[in-house]
Amino acid sequence: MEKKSSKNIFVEGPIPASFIADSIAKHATKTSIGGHSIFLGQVRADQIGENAVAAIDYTSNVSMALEKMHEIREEIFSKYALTCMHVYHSIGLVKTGEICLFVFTSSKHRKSAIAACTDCVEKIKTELPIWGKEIFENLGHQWKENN
Amino acid sequence: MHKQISICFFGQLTDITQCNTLAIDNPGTVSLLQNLLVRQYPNLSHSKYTIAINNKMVIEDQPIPENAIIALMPPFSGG
Repeated sequence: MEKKSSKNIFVEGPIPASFIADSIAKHATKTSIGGHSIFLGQVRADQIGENAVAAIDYTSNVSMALEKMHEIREEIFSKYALTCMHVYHSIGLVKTGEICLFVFTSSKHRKSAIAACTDCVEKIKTELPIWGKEIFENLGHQWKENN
Repeated sequence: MHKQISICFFGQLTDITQCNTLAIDNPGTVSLLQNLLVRQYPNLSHSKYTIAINNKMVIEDQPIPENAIIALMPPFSGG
C-alpha cells in the first residue's frame, strides 16, 4: 500500500472569515491567476418539528479522509487547468451561521476554476468519511444526511 | 498470543454501540465479524454502513489480516 503524505484539511471548530481573507490575500503574488472560485459551507438553523438546529458536531475517519482527499485532489488537477486548490473542513463543533467548509480554486481563466470548485465540493460531500451530528437547542440530536 | 483487531465505529453507529472503538480477537473474515457484531449490537442489523479494512473499502467478504483496523462507516454527511 503506497502511503503518500496527505495534506491536512481539518480545522478545529468554525473556519474564521479572517482565515478566508488571508487565504485570498496570499494569492496576490501568483500573477498568472485570472480567476478564483470559492465555496463556503455554512451551518444552517434547520427546523425539525419542534427542534431547531443550534450547531453541527463534525467527526471523521481522519486518516482515511485525508487519503481520499489526496485522491480527489489528483483527480481534480488532472481534469481541470488549475493553478491551485485549497480545501478546509471543520472538525468538532460549529454553530449555526458559522463556516464549516472552505473550497478555493484558482486558474488562469474563470471556467476551470468554477467547474473544479463545484466538482470538488460534490466529491467532498459524497466521498469523504465525515459525519455531522446536528445538535438541537434542547441538546437532543439527529445525524445529518446529505442530499 | 491473542491476534486482536480494532473496530472503529463512526457517526450514528456510535449511538448504537455507545463506544467508538472495540478490540476483539480476530474472527477470521468480514462476514464472521458482522455476525459477531450483530449479536453484540442487534440494532446494527438495521443500519446502513460500509466497512473499510486498513482504510481500504471492503467490497466482498474477505479474510481479516492480523492487527487490522476495521472501520464501520454509515453514509457520509460532511460539508
